[in-house]
Amino acid sequence: MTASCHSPAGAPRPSRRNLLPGRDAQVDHAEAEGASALAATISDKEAGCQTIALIGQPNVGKSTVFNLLTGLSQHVGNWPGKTVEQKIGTYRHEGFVVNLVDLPGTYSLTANSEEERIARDYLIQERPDAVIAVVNAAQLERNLYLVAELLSLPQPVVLGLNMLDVAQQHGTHVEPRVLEAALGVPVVSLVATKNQGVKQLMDKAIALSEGSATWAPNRPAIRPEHAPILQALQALIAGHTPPGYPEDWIALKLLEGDSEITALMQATLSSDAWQPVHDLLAQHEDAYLDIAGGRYEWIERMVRAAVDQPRAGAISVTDRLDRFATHPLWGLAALLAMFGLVFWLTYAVATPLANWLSGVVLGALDSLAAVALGGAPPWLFALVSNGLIHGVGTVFTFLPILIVFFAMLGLLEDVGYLARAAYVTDRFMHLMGLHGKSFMPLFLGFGCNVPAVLGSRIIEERRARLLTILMAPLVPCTARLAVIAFLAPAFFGPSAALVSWGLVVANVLVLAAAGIATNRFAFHSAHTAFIMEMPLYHVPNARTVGLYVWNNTLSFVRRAGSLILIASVAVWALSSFPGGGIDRSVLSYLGRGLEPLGRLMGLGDWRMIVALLTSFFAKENVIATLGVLFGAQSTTVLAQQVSLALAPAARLAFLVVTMLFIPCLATTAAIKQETGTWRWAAFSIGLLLAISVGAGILVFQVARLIG
Amino acid sequence: MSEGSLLQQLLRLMSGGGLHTIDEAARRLKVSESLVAAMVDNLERAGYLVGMQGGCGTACSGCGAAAVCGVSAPTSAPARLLALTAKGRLAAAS
Repeated sequence: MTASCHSPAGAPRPSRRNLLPGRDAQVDHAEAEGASALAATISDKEAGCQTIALIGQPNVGKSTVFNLLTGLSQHVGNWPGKTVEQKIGTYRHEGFVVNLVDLPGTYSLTANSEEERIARDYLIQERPDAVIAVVNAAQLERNLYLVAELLSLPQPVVLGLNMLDVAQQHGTHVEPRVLEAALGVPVVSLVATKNQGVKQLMDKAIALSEGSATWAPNRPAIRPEHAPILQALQALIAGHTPPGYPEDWIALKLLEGDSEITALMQATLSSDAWQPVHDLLAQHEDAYLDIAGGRYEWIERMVRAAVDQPRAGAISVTDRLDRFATHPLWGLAALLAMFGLVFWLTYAVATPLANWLSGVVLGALDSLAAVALGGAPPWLFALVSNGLIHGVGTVFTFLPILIVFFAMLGLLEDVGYLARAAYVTDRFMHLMGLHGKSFMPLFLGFGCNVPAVLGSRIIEERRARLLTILMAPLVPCTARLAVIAFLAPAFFGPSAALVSWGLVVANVLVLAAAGIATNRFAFHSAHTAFIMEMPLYHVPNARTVGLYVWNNTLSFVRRAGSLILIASVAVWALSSFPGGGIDRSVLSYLGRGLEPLGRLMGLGDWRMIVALLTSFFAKENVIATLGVLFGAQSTTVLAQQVSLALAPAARLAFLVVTMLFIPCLATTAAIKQETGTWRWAAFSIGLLLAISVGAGILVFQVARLIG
Repeated sequence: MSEGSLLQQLLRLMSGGGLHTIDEAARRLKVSESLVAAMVDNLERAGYLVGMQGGCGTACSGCGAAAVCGVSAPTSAPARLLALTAKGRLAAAS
């Protein structure tokens, strides 16, 4: 039994242990520090004071363990010269005093981050007597990488297998004895949050540090092709490594391409001695993947041995559903079915609600206005009634439709389905020869086109980015869908859901066609490759979905209260000026001027044309404008009036044109912002005008033929 | 010629282009999904893959349309998406 280490007056020993050489230390300085650290370590050992380091990934409960062991004896500071927090403390038990050092949370021991460099510097230079590696049992594959790295250093390691309760919940069953046998490293089970196993962990660590426990690690193997190279490297650097650094570890890190060790050795060796090392390394530049990959192969063997049925519960439900949802054919069918469901639900539930709302609310507002503005000048009354109540007010009655729509969308997102939708759509695009980064931002366009335009920033190649931006307005956004949702029931009665569904599908096909056309033309972007981690399906959270609906509804209300309000008033003003009825107004002259073109699409009524034009400011304006110009009492009446104004074929044409019409003001502004010039924004407007009018004419003529 | 380590195999799987899922990769490499997820993390830290932010991300703060934008932040944890970097493509080819 080693004599236990007593510190004077029970206070923690002064922190000589915290003195690590600064990163940019000269070689001489490093040698001197290393020597003194070595001397200090020896003297401590003689005095019987052990030092044990705690290491682990972030969020594995390492701090919990440290706090339980050190309690109030903790000192919190910074690692010298760094902004990273340092915690040291002492553990006392039955006369034993052990110094504990909490190393920063790290995923590995590369040179890539400050925390990792601090951790490995400490291990190499301060050489603690043992290392406690705290590991999350529910995420063994991730956590064991650090252990794999630790095993290439000389310090004995004990594994604290924490969060076993969480692993249990996930259906992951870890066998600590098997893991211990496989690793050749002592394994102690813990549930740190319940203070279970912590003392046993410490006991084991102390035993290891005193040399009274077995330590026979089963290290990750070096690939056969690398063994001779490592031997050669070691031979070349032998005797020249800074004191304290194990030579085999240095050789391994050099082969891995570790930036810090490479720089260190280049500085330490003479240029003559460094040259052959450099040459050897240059021949094996991709060894990192092999060495790191080898560690994962080791992890795979360990986990396969020690973990029982890693799949259960939520994972297998997700798997079973995904076999269907991500299937190239069935997945697409499922997606189309989802679309259909969303529309059907919207029409079944929301439209009657919206109609009722408009009848009651608008009617009430009308009566109120009549009373309140009884004595006011007629133009004011007309402004309020036609301009506001029947203009922007009509748009507000939309709210049920939007709320149901957002709720469906939010639900699908929260359940986790939308990721599958994106995957299936991408698969579909892939089949058509379109794939890659360029299409990712377009998925964002389904909520609103603006994020699709802004999201194009991730595309580096300028031409590819431009083409994606130009295609963004072709993605049907919720505002457009809301307009369709309003008009379709009026135009097509019971077939409204089918028609809307068909329109969306057609729109996506137009988008795909545009994509193929531009692909042909322009860019062969390098075949970008992606990997995606789809979340598990899970039960939707009412609060999350509620918040989503609330936020989106609020943005809509804000937009209605600003752009649409102004547009309604403007439309009202232009349609009342110079007086003598709506058919002799300024606006009607403008509309009638475009009638010849409109008639080609069956839109001979100038009011429809004007409605389309106002959609530039916000897509919902179509409804507001129609409300102002038709002057109906409620949305049901409005819908009827609009229906009557158009031939059946024309109704379809109108919906098609609305879907494909020019980008709204917000989108246009975004295009200008992202392309840096008005030129492309103008081009986009022109392009979509051509597409929408062309499609409208086509649909009208064909539909008329069919009857 | 050896087929390369697991990391190498993963990169090579992706280098053909297109969108892969972690599940699919696990099936092809005959390992568990959690192992693939762990490897993906490692490759991201080492610069062979780069994470992509879904949604506007921080673009909203500079966006003039914020007042009228119909999109709010994504609801639950969005699907993680990573792209192969130039470094990754080179390594896969070797």
